[in-house]
Amino acid sequence: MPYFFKKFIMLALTLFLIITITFFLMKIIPGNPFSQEQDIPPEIMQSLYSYYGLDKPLLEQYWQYLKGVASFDLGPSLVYEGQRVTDIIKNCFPISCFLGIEALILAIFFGSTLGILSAFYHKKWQGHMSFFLSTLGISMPSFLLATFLQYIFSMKLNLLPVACFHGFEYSILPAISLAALPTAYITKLIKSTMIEILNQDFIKMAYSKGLSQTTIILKHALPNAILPVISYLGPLTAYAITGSFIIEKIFGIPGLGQWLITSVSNRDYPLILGLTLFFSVLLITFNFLVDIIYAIVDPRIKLKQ
Amino acid sequence: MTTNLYLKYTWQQFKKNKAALYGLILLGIILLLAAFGSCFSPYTYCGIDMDNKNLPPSFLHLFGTDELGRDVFTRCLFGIRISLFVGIMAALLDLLIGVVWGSIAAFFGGILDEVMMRLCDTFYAIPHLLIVIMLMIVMGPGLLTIITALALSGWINMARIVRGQILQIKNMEFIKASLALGASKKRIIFKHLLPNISGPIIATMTLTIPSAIFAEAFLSFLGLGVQAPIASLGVMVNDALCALRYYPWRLFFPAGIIIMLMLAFNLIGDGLHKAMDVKQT
Repeated sequence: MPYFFKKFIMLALTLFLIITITFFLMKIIPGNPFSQEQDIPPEIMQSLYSYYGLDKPLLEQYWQYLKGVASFDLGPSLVYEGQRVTDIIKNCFPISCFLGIEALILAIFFGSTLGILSAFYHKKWQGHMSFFLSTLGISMPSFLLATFLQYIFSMKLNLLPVACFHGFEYSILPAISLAALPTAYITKLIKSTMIEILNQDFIKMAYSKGLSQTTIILKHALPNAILPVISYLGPLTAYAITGSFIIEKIFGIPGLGQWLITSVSNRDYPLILGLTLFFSVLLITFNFLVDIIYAIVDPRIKLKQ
Repeated sequence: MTTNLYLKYTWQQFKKNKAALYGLILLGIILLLAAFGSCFSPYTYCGIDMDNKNLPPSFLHLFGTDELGRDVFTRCLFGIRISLFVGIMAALLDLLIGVVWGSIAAFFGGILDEVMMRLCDTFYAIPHLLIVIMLMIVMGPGLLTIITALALSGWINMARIVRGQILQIKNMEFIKASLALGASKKRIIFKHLLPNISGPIIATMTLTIPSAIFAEAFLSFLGLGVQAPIASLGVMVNDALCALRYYPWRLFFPAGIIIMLMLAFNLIGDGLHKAMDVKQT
């Protein structure tokens, strides 16, 4: 229990630092959220500023924001009138999350299958094939893959919709584009650990006991080979479910990914902070979960320090 | 002498890896093309020729022309230089910051180590894109901004690897022996620690370069990269996208080159990892 307590304090501290750094960094950016509409009279500008509390001293604004965060209120959007930051997240996150989970399932399934195959047929053509595929997957930028897929399957073959998001068939191409890189990475991770494990004594022991190949792979080798994948899945999940700007832009998906960039170029301060905070909380939480799962799966590791 | 032996051994291991050798050859060809290819091309990267817009590939224009009649082949060659420059500079900056940060944290340990690593965690949890875009707005788009932004978001990985490696060998006998003989801290860091962790550092760097090249292409693709008339591969991909339906070949060549460049570096990096027996994390 003290371990979790200490870890929790550390996480809270990290989050606090993130809010602080982001808050002061974004105030350094020149420009203001209201200058998009040209030539606002200074009086109106003044009242806008005081309405949103932007005319107060920086430290007071900072304190107000911290108080808001503590009560789970991320403030109003300065550019999108009448919308609260929490509303924007609530509306867009489910779409990105759906896509992200679809991509994760694809990546984990195909990644582990390819990884096992390539470790098992190491130095045969199947192994070379999967090595080639995974290296290509790592070398292929997601935005290029997305464009190719869109060109081939939507424009040329007319099999799948080009863009927008109105149902499952709209999510296939984006999910594949998102899944390619993690699939390749998981393949590599599983392959390299698997090859090491297949040479160890307990596997030879299992063979000499006369166990079938499937049992040996699934029951003895795979649980060991899955460990590095688990620690990779932490950050991956956080990135996947918060959406990718580029994929959402290419396929016209109204997810969360695009908001970070638009919020910075709009100087929509509460939105920048809110999204950063949301992402950081997810990332930290998933990394924390990974630590716990790791300790459960691998009895050699004890949660101490 | 010992360094030579180490290099020789690494090279022997590297040679056995066919895929890595192919990567090296591929990179060599790309480098030669980037360096000397433009000598054989009668066009310049920004020469506009409005009579020959959007031509398909032919012997006159190997890769065709773009919407302003510029020769895509020459622009691609120029783009490779930009991509390589960005990739290598970003990797070098990563190396500098990461090695200094990681070795200080590992060597002095204690509270300093704790604080420095917590800071790493904090930076790691801020979305990279946010830092990059803020920097773009403050510094204005351009090559220098891209390189700074990439280095700012990329050094954390290097710092962690350097720290982990140093912690591993810090307590080995030869370091203790050197300390007992009265060697200074500076001598131990530069003579003993850094040479011994150079393998993992170099291997990590070769994998940083492709991710930096990818990031440059990505930023240019967003319109945040280098500005016209300079050609980078990402900018060309972005330009080609608008006319994808009618002139698909304009996307095909720059995209293919990005993929080949990244493939070459990834294969080499993989080979180095194996040759130096570094665990990939």
